[in-house]
Amino acid sequence: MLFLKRYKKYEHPYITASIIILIFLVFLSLFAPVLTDYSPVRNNARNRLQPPSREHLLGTDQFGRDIFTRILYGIRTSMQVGLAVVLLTVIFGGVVGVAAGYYSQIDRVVMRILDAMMAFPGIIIAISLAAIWGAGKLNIILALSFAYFPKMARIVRSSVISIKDLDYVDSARAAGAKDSRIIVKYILKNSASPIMVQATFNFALAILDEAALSFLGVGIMPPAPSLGAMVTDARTYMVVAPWMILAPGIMIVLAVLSLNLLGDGLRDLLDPHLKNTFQK
Amino acid sequence: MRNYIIKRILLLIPIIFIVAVIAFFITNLMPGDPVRVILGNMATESEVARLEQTLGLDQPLIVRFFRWLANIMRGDFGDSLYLNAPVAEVLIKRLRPTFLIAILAEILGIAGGMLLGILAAVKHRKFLDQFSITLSLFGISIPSFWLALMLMYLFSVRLGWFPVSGYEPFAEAGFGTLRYIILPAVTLAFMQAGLIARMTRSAMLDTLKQDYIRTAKSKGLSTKSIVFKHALKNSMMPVITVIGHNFAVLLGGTWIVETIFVIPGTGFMAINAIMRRDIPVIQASIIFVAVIYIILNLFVDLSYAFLNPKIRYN
Amino acid sequence: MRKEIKITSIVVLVLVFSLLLSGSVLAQEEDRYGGTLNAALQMSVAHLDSDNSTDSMITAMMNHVYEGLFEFDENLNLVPHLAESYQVGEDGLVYEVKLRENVMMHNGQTMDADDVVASFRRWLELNNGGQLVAPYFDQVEKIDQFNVRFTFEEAYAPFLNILASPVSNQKFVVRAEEVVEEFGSDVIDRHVGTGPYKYEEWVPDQKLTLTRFEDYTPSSREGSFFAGERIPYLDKIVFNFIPDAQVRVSGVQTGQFHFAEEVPRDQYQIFEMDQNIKNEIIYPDRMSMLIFNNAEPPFDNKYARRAIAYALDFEELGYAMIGDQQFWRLEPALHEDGNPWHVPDAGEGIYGVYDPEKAKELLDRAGYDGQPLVILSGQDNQMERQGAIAIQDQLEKIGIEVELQLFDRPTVVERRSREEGWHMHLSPFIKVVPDPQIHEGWTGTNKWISNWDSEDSRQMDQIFAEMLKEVDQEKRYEIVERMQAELWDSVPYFNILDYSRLHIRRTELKNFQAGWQPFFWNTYLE
Repeated sequence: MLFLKRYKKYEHPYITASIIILIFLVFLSLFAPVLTDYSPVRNNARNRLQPPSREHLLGTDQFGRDIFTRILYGIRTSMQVGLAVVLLTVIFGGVVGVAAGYYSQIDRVVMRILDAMMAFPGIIIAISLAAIWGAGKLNIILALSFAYFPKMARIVRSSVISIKDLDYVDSARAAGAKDSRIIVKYILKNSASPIMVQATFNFALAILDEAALSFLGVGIMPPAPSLGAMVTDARTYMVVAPWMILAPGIMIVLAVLSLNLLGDGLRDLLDPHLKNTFQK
Repeated sequence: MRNYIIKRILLLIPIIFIVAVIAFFITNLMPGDPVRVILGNMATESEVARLEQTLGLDQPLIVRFFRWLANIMRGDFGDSLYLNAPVAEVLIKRLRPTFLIAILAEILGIAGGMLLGILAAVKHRKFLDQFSITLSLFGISIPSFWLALMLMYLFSVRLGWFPVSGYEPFAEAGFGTLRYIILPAVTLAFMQAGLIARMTRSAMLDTLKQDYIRTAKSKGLSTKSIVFKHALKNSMMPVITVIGHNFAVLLGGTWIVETIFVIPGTGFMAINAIMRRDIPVIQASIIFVAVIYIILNLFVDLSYAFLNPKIRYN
Repeated sequence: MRKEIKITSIVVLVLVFSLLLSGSVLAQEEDRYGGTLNAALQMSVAHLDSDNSTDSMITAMMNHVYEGLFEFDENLNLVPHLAESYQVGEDGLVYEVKLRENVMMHNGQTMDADDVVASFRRWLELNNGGQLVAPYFDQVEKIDQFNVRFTFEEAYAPFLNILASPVSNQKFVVRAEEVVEEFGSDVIDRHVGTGPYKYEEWVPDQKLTLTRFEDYTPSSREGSFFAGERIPYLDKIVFNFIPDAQVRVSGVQTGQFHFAEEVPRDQYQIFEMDQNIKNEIIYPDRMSMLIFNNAEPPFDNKYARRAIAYALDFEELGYAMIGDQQFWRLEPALHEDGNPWHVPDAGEGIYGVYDPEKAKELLDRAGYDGQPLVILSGQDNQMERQGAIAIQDQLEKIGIEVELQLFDRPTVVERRSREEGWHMHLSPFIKVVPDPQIHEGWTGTNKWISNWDSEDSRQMDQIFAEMLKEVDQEKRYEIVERMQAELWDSVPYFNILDYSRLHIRRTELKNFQAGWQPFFWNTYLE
């Protein structure tokens, strides 16, 4: 892969750092059941609001649930939501973007609609939709995908437009290749870089926005663990149980930061325009 | 140029129409019954029916859509179901705190962001560059609700420098108003600064590699004068674009921050409205943010066209 | 002679001294006047017309503006307030109420029978307290300027208690006739009452400002809670609506607010250590009610409903939904210990008996097919949210599948009003109920939200019908015992526990009494 080749060629500390953090987070979320003996949802209310101790590394919350455990499962939720949102965004954005870029007949109409949708900040669309559909993992995945896909579609579209009139695509067309073949063989292959970069940023944004929605009470349905909802809970106990608020916030920052780092790194690697900025 | 401006403005009409369609249908498909919320816990069916009729909620959706559209063309967004006043009036009343916060956040964001960005570009690949990259990455990675709570805990609860929440208008408190809006503005400024720093840095790096800068350098101009007179000026366009694109995001951020700091602005109003299904207010709030986004981006595009005539023909 | 002078001089001295003393007492009295009180309330209200809403917050604030013919004192005794005295006919059908004369209203006129009659008609038609009374009521008429007669078609024992009811918005308050005529059944937004404070400004979602009514005419009875003398020491009262608990708390800590309603109970110890803050625990305050949807299987069967009572560990629920033990009490009866209507042995053998095996047995007996049970509750109330999560946890631990639906208030209210789609719902009920008849509003055939319609519910209707006519206190108590027994037999809903809210105030706010609704007459700022 192009990415790997370039990665070897230009040693890049940010990518390395972000990948290490991400692998760590993925490890935590995948092996959560092994890493902790507690359940993320089972209560033990007689044991509530315990400060950090050997049994409970990060203390317990107002239901007596182990906060460390809930954080592990909370990252899992964040990762699931982020991944699902990215997949849906790439699919929707890709289809709409390719269609608009390749078939200029519908380009205008599609672009106007996308323009209008992009006029709403993503978080606003997501809050409104999540409030309509009600809390729940599936609903916020759909709400966030709906909020993000216009931007993805535009990126794909402009990349398609820049590619579709290149000589070698023209010659393929002249040789009688079908549209579907051209789209798959030339266009998608060459749009992969911007899609990958945007997808990484979307992943970060999805984690951030899931937390915000859960914080507002329209995200993940309790008692399922969500880092954002943990901050909401912790807010009430901020003075008596400050350990509740720090850890989930730091975890969100860590996940989002590493994804943003990765996105930056990928962009530097894959974007020929910016490539020379780190070649010195 | 004039033709271009007119063309751009005409193009806004379909966009604003679609914005209105989205806003209307999103809000009217919400589950939850505002009438029952107004009447309270133990309302009877007859009370519900009576109020539904008064509010016109018993009409079919499509009828309501066209009636609503005709009304908003005249600037009439209907009456709030909850606040006993026309939505437009309420919105205007609540603009001031929101804009104060947004503008202060933008100023802080631009100042901090450009400073970081320039430092990073000038000290490219040195410690300061790494430092500012990391800082700006934090800016765009910290959830604003968490940051707001942390700032509140540290500066209001622990140190007592600022009130924990609330707001006093300028007319009553004078510059005391600042005390209420500093923390919300700083919260939002973090993300703006992050975005602006990143854009400034890459735009500056691009410019610094241009031939004319090399020429200037070879002529022996001081670094200071190169950076501020030439490079900065020529890097402004992408930075302005980022600011234009993200002001609406900033307004979206006020939804969360105003809720946390209990500031009676448009964002607090919007979240409240969503939580209790005050449909006309939700519609107006969504459209308000979208229209600001559209207008700012029109200005950004026009300034591009103004500076670079080639664009007009594309 | 000398002796006389001595005595005279002593008398004079004593007189002078006592004069000085009384002067300083008077001066102290004077000192109490003035200042603006800032109170932080949890929830905003839609409007300020208590007859047009069931929101108890409206009544809580507008108690300063409007007064009732009767009000309750600290011990829940009914005391005439705007009424001077009253007489009940022997058959219990006629109530003649003599009004206090020269009571000034905020429009500068004196309150008279016309105001009472107009307000009462509106209350009867719109207020849900009035709607409880209406089926038995015949007419209200003015006898002369200060005398009013209420006539019933059937005897209605709890009439006066409902007139002064502390539940939600039920209390009857006297408004100026002109206002009632102007607004009819529409929401009133011009407020003319007799209270110690008058309406100044309402900024929706932000604050309600009241100012002292200089011509206020206090009752001559001794002040106690809502009854008796009310003295408006404060110049202004500002109710701020602050939905976030932590913000209310910090506001009191920094001195921005003098009073905050419903603060996190877990911070009790912190407030205790703060010299500027005083904790106010409200008692008996609230019940956490688990309400079944009696229309939908499995809870259309009473064995299934009983099963849930056995399936839950109430004590664990207390910790999970309320927290520290000083804020909650296990209590099976609808009236608290000490209340004349308290039934001590209510729910014996079922209340607080944790027996999951028996629960499963009962569920089998009810033919429960294992479908997930839906708990519908609000996000915005700690008891509802945490209670629902804890109940789900407990039921799942014994193998019952539960689906949790936590929504914002509008969605909860809408879904709950349907007959299907939910099985259980948690709701805070006000514990301070002066008369058992008031439970009729939600207990019986198709009364509030429980969708209860069966043999049992009709039997319950019968019990309430008897209660209504019975004027003998002892016999009425026996009926209440039967009501409680029936309630724990068929379990259309049940009381998990009683709990208290925690309010806090600044110490400079003096003379504050922790009533079931906060009030600020007779309080002053130091």
